[in-house]
Order: sequence, then C-alpha cells, then structure tokens
Amino acid sequence: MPQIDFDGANSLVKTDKIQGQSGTTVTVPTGHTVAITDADRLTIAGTAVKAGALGKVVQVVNVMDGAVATGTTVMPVDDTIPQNTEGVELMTLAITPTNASNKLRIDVVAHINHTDSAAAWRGTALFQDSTANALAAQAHSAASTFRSVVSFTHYMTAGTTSATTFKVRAGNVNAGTLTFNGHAGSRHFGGVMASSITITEIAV
Amino acid sequence: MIPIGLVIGWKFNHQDGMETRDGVITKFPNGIPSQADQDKWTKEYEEYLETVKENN
Repeated sequence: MPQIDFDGANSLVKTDKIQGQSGTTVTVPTGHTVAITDADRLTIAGTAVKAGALGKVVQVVNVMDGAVATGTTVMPVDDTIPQNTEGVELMTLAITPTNASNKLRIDVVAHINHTDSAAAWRGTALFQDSTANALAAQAHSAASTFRSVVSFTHYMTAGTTSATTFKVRAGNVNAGTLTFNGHAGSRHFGGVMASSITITEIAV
Repeated sequence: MIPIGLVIGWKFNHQDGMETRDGVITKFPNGIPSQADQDKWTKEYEEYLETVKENN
C-alpha cells in the first residue's frame, strides 16, 4: 500500500477530499486521534455536530392522555407482527427529529382493561405513520376485573427530519370491549390516571 | 349512567370496529348511530342488567 509521510509537528496537508485508496473507508489507526480545534467545525450530512453534543437530549415530546376510550377490534396474539388494522388506536404523538442519524427513545405507558372474563392475552403495539407492521409490542394476560398498566420502550434511529407520528394501539385476543384509562367503559380517577407516550431525541 | 361503549359492546356482541372516546361514539360500522338509537340501546341494556340482577 502506498504511504506518504510528512515529518515535523507543523506539517500541513491541504486537500478538498479524503477517500479510501483501496476501498471506501478511511480509517484512523488505533492510538491515533482526529482533533477538531473549533467546537462547531464538524458536520454530518450537512448538520453541525457541536462539541459535547453527542449522546445529549435534543428534545423531548410527550402526550398525557387521561380520556376514557373504548374499542372492540381484536388484536391477535401469536407469532405475527401486529398490524395497524388490529386493536384500537389509543394515543398518537408526532415529532420532527432534528437529525436523521439521531436516536429516538419512545416510552409508552397505557392503562388497559377488557370485558373478556377469561384470563386472555391482550396486546399493545407501537406504530409509525401508515406503516402496517408494528415497531414494538407487548402482550400480557389478564381477566376483566384487572386493569393492567402496560409499559415498554422502543429505541430506534430517527431516519428522517420530517414530522413523523407514532401511534399506540391495543386489543384483546378475544371479542369484548377494551377500556382505556378506566374499567368497563367508565373512567377512573377523574382523568389523572393518564396514559402517555414520551419521545426523547438523543444526539449521536 | 351506563357508558355507551359498554352498551354497544353488549348490543352488538362486541363486533370489531366500534370505538368511543369520552362517552361519544367515534367509530361504528356503517356510520355513527343516532342519539335516539343510542338512548334506546342504553335502555335495553339497563333492562337487561335489571333482569340479571333479579335472577341473581
């Protein structure tokens, strides 16, 4: 492999592009560092990455929903990915990521009850925009007298800088009426027993 | 007051596609039913519950 060496602490290379010589990757060998002197002189895909910003929270959006809702559409609990036609849509939350490479941490908390008298499976799933397949899902088993608190976290690359909407749907595996934020169609605790979606954008 | 979500679940055997929010029907097969129909079904459900109570 050809090698160019420059001697001296003040050696300087001026060029408009650096690219791999035998491949598409430019590697900084172990023990070496690329130092950028100014805090705002590194950009990724046109967006400035400021010193100390990596891993930091860029924005947090949240919806707290204390409304009581009911629905009857079932959600199969089997070895298939939940679809956006299954179960009942309970909450939505939009976010506009600032950088497509950033990470999104999505935390879901939902209060669920169902009239099914048997201890049957109930599914709760997270969807994005009009994509049919769920991004994440949770299943639990409970009888009608139990109000379940469902919670799960999904972590993903944002993948876009356009507004994108996340949706939570839930349903029972058997026919019946699901109640959100209450029991048997009625609200509990005057609206403060609220379910939520919280999305945290994390710089990478 | 009996929640309308429970009433329509009972009346239509929990068929898919019925949804309520804050006591208002938001989704129903073939369109949202009239208030008169909802009142009628609610009364029927109340009578049904009374029958169940008497039989117990």
